Amino acid sequence: MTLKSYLVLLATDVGRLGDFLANPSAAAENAGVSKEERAILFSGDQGLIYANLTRLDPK
Amino acid sequence: MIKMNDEHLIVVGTGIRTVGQLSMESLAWIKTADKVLYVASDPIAEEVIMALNPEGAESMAHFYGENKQRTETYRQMVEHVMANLRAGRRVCFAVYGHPGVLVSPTHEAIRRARAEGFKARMLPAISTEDCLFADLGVDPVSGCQSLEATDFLSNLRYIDPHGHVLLWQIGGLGDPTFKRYSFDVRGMPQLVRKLMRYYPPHHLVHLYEAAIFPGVEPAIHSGPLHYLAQIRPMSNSTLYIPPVSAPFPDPAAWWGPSGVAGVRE
Repeated sequence: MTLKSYLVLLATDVGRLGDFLANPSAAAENAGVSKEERAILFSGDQGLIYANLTRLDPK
Repeated sequence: MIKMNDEHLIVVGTGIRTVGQLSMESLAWIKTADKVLYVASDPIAEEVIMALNPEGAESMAHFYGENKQRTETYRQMVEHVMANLRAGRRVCFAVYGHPGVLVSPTHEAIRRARAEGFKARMLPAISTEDCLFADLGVDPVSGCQSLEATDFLSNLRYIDPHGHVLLWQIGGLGDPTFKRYSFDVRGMPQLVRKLMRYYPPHHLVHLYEAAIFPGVEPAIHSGPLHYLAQIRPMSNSTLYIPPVSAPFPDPAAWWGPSGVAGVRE
């Protein structure tokens, strides 16, 4: 699952969001988000996440 | 028997951080509308809308144009909403944040729809203001003024420096056109001079930008008011100015044995 698909899932499924709140890294890994995209998600860098989701060059 | 959920136009907001801030009611309206006309600021909100209603989702972002007057863009959006209503479609007009805060076409669409006999409703959502209250620990109960920065600069507005003050869209100060990335903020020195009528130059102020993704901290840049003239805020920054002090007591108020008894006329 791509990071974008996973974030859409979290926005629309309260059960999956609950899993994410309880254990973010395990929930993302169990959902099949790649190691690279998990690193981006957990970077805390809004620009990097945005760029990944839109395929822009981070500035 | 009352009629429920028979609106022709429903206006919703996707919140600032779509993950966790998009209400169940808004999700349901997005899913069930014939047409979802939306303006999204982040790729997740857009993707959610398209996933929930792949047949009816239509972005209105194409109405924006570099250096185009925002008022013209908003007029076109409202016309598009009205055209879909007149075609007999149940329309969900979705925007980011709160649909009634700093968004004029949503209010105008509701006004126009009702004027033409359509039933229309706006749902509340989470705005930047709500995020700011939470992130900066601000309780507006002690007084809070909320002003659009360009409006404050260009009109005879008055500030109560003993309450909280929020200046919106400071990153687009003085520019009525749309810019994709950053605005030409020429009015900042004038804005700072106007604020110094109320605040000392070293009064600590905060530029605030809410987080739009989970796990991201809000961007908060703090510094003395006078320094603001030398920086260029992000386009979606909000200026928060804390009170200079507690308010002065009203000498006309008088207290009885069980609390405030009244105000002398």
